[in-house]
Amino acid sequence: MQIILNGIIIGGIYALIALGFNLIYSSVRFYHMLYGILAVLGVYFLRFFQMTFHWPFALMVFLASFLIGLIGMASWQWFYRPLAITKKASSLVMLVLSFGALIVVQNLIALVWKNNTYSISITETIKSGYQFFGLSITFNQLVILITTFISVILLELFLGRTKWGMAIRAIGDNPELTTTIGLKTNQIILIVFFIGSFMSSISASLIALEIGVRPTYGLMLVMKAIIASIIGGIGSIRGAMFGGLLLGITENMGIYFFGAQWQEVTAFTLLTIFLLFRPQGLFQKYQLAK
Amino acid sequence: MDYILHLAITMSIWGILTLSLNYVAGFTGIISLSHATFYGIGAYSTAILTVKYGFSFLLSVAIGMFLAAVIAYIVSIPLLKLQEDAFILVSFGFAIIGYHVLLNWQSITNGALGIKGIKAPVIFGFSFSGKPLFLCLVLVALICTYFILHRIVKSPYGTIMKNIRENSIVASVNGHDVTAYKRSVYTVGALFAALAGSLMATFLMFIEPKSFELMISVFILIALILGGMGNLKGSILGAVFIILIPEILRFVGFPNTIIGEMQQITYGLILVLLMILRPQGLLGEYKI
Amino acid sequence: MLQVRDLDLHIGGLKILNHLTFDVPDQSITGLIGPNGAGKSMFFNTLFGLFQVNGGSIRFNDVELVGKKPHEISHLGIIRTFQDARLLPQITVLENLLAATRYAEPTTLSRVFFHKKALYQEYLSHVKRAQSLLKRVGLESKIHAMGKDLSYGQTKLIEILKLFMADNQVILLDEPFSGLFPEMIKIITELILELVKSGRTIMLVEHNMKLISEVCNHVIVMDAGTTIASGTFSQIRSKSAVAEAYLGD
Repeated sequence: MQIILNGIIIGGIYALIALGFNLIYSSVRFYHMLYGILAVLGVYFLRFFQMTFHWPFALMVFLASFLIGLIGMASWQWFYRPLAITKKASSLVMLVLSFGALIVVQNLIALVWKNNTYSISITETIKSGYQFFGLSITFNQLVILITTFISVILLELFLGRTKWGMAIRAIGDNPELTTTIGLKTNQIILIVFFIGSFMSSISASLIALEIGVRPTYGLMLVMKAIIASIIGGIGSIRGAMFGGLLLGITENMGIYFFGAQWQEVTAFTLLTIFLLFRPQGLFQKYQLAK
Repeated sequence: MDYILHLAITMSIWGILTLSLNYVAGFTGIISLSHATFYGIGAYSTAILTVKYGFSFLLSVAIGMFLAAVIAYIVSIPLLKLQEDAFILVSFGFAIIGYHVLLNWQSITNGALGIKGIKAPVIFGFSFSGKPLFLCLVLVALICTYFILHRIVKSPYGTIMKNIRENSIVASVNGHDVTAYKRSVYTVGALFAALAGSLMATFLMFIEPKSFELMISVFILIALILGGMGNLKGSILGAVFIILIPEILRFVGFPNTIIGEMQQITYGLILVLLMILRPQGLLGEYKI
Repeated sequence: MLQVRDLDLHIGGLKILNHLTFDVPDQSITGLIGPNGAGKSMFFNTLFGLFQVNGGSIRFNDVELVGKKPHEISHLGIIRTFQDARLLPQITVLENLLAATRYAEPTTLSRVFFHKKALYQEYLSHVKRAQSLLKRVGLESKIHAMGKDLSYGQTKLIEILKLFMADNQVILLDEPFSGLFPEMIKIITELILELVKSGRTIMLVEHNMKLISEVCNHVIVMDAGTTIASGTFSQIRSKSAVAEAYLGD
């Protein structure tokens, strides 16, 4: 049970990352690889705030994520858009472009902050864990669980109940749709990039609470998002959530049975199994495999 | 002189790697980020078989290539079900698995410590020790690779490969078994990547999992795109550049402590600029 | 003889093909007409195994096509063109033609290396055939041009030449005349008639009724995924259901 609980905690973060990734994917239809490293950059911002100012933790997370959201918007407006819209580049070109940018940003972070693992903590003193029904959970994990839960609910409400949310879903269903409810396509995509990047930064901060962060995690994070998305069914919001949870639980089972060094292998084995037997994912929306 | 020989040998080995990826990605459109794994399989086969079990060099190379081909064939079954973008990422995932196996299967691979004391290749009693001789050996391997691949891509088989790259539905309507061809191409690509690995192992005399990590797959792809997809000569040019770049950075005066990062930043920038300005690369005949 | 029986194809709750049933006689041109969205192109796609059917059968010379892979269907002697005719853009016109060519034996690596001579003799004969075909339509200068550099009309023409290269028994043509000038339509019509004369069976999707009446021996009218009429052009013209659904007047 403890393994499953830990799996749910990590899986919740993966779900959050995959949600943001999927949101962006369904509106622009290419793999935004930069996503992972922007999330990591958010953690470095957070760490910088923590060391410079002494504001409340939640405020600093919000601020760092807000900045990342802006950078995400900028990446669409000035980096992707000229190629994707003006030059009509294929999704493959966009993927390679994005990968190149990921390499650049990752190494810039490494140059500025060195290649070490940094972990962040909410308080100076380590708080003791809690016990529920024989399961133990640390203070950090509790924060992670609650934040994940709140974020998912907020996102669901936003997408389901607001004008913008409906426009985003509409653009996900039909990318050619130029105007929905009076919003221009580009505005919607910008909003999507903001929300997606904002969420990625929050989830990366949560990961930093649990296992720390280093520049190379950018790639790892976006790969996790992609695995969770494919498992869940790419383009599907619900799929991303369940895919993330399933991935987290499976990874933790893998760690328990085979050891931590096989974590990544477990993740990709899960993906391979899905590709073989259910290539469209749990919640099919767009056909992925031929 | 020693330095130039060293560079020439590295470039030639990377030439084989880039050529073999070109065969897979440039001619058939299977843009794979798993090449470092097959490169690693070749290197580890030669290292383990010659150091631990005293096999001859040629036999170890043959076994390494065979092993890489078998693994490539098995892996291609689930992998090739995917369309291009998803395929890239999942092939990358396979490279992650490969790297972790090298790192963690310690009883065989010696884990992070790597394998030391790999001897210079001896073929029919003749030892290729010393850089000039080794360069000759590597050049022969490069030329063989070039001509074998050249012969395939210029043949009717190559026409089918390009047809699949351009549009796999049209290829299948034209009567070509797309899946079978793709598997065969992916397998042959792995074969030559393994050859490059074997050569690299005997050249460096020491290998560790780090030499075959994920980024190596990316670097091979960068060399390929830079040189130009669908043009075999371009691959050699790309390999030359990819090896020269860190040397140039060093020459310009970046300190050794940050050379790794600067190198990767340059590679990343090259990729970004190529995508924006010249997606077909220097000599390419195929734009992705 | 191509026999289609009760073919069903449902996609996302839509009945794209609904108990589609008809026969295509040998060595003739059968027109397949119907309003947009009637399922004509989808039938071609289904025949070629690009979709999984929900029921029914397609038999060609008593071989079941349903469940076969596209290349297997092609090997039985069937080929098709695509509505949005595009040559493979980044290879030459010659390579486009050669890609559609069938060799006596499957082109494998072992043939490339161990039966080089036989393979190349065959290859050269195919190249010669491609050259003479191109010369016939006055495109010999374009032989090494990239697919993407050809005009729309030239692209359509090369699509037809591919049928000569492929040398298949049954040919499915998806709007080969759409968007073409009258001169080009004339050239392509001649080529198609020549294909029939040499004993091939053709199915033709086309919206131009004048062309249909001129070239087709037999016409099948489709609407909403099902056959609503079949017969000679004058026969179906007299049926009121057809006129309502499609012909207008």
